[in-house]
Amino acid sequence: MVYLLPVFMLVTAYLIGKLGQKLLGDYEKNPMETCLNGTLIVILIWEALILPAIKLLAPFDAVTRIFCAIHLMLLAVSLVFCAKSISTDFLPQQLITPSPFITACVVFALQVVCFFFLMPDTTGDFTVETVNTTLASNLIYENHPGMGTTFVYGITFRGKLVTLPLLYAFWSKLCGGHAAEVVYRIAPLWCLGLSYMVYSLWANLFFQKAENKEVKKAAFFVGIGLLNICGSFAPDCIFYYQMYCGFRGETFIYSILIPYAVYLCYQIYGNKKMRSCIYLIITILGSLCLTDVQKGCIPILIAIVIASFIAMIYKLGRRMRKR
Amino acid sequence: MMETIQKAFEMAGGSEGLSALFLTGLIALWYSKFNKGTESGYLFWYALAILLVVINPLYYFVVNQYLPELQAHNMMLWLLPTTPVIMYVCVSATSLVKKRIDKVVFGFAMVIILILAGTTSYTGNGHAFIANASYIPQSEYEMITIIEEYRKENQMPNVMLWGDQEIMQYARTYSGNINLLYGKDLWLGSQDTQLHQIYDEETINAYREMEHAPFFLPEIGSTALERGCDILVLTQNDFALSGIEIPKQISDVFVLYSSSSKYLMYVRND
Repeated sequence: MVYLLPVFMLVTAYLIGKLGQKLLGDYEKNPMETCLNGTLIVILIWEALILPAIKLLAPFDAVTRIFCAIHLMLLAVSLVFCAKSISTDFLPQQLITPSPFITACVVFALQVVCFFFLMPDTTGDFTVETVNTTLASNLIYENHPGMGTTFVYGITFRGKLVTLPLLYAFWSKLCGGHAAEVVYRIAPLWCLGLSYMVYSLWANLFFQKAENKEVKKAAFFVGIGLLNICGSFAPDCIFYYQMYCGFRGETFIYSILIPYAVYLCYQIYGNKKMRSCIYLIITILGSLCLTDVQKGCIPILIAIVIASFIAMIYKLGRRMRKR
Repeated sequence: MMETIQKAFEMAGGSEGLSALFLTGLIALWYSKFNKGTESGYLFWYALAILLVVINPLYYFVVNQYLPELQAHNMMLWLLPTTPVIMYVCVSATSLVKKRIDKVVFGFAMVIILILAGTTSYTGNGHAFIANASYIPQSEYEMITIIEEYRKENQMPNVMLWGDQEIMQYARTYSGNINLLYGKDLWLGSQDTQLHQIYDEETINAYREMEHAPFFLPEIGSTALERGCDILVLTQNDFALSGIEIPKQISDVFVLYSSSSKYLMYVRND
């Protein structure tokens, strides 16, 4: 059951993302972008449920039931109202040619094998303990994850904003698997999949006018996989985080949200897709739920300011050269 | 064999392989950026700007003064465009090679460069195979499963465990129903700076005593009783090294219940 979780996450993210785009009247997004937006919406809904629950000292059980109901409702609404646009996403001509992507898939599989058989870096980390504590006590952030007993000083509000470990607890409860399997296997897989989705958007941008577009995109994906595997021996590098700390909020920030925010900035300033502003705001809000403000939100804001500035200058320069 | 491989990797260079590759990629991107009307110019300027911002002394001052937690991930921020920069340059370079055989050689050369660049700080530390699906080392896993069985047999909703730091480190990753006298943040610290647990002097002393358990058995017994511990786990090797005989019971209350290849388990007998 635990191993079906990625499929569930992918399908729900896609359907919820599709519904969000329908509400915004945005029909141009490709399925990868839909999944990314859907994932961020799911994270924000979870946050919106958890914060009042912490204030009201509500049991974790109650929150998971409400979250499940919201999930089901959104999926049903999405299937009813977006059926037509979903079917157009999966027309045979829309699907990628598989042959150039075989090597990329093999390299992707190699990374997944690493998640399944290598020890992750858990030094000083309390993610699995938080999941176990939440599930055993049925309380949200009331007990010390490392001891299981009540905190002496507790977690600050800034700490309580981070709801990623609780989302893992929800998945663990939903699938009945051991917390370690969900956190150390499924979460890094989810993170890796989403990072590939972001880089597929970058690849579309880079190789849109190139010859043999599909082959080049596939080579790009192979390279990303090789960088993750080969570069992971250097600690404090994003590749190491991707391979050995894929369950941590920081990895989500650096391998998914920042590259996605930079891509969105280009779409806003470079291609004048103003609707992307909404996705950018969702991305910034999502960063608050994944890790501490200083480790997540601030780096994203730095990247956004730089990327926006560069995108504007770049666009201006192109316009001047045309004249 | 493994040592030789490690030494070979260590000899391959400093610890800046990927950074050097990134900077080389940046120069290659500069050369090619206006060539084909693609969006590589945007990538180039973004990567360069973020690099210049992060190495700026003003940025360093602000981060150092007001955002100390960002400092730990500073390197990741400027190295972040590494992936698209390196891969864009690599993929673009393949289009310059025409013959199929040359493309294969070029591909292999790229893989070797990536491996060497990424493994320059390779020490082999921290890369170990997992022993089970709970991601707990086998000797600790054996003992923790015995504790969990004991809890279930005695129909206890929770048990309070106190033991060697290695068993304490993994107990709560296995089950949320095993409570501990202190968390691993006492000796390891925590990555989450928003999590505040202040340990008093008594608890710190208890930790010190447990780490030299054979010499403090009466103290451990009384502290465990006072703090309501149900289970004590001591390391067999500590007794072997200290030359002290393994006790059958501690402070007349904790009796030897079970043992594994590495640990001894004492349970409360009142």
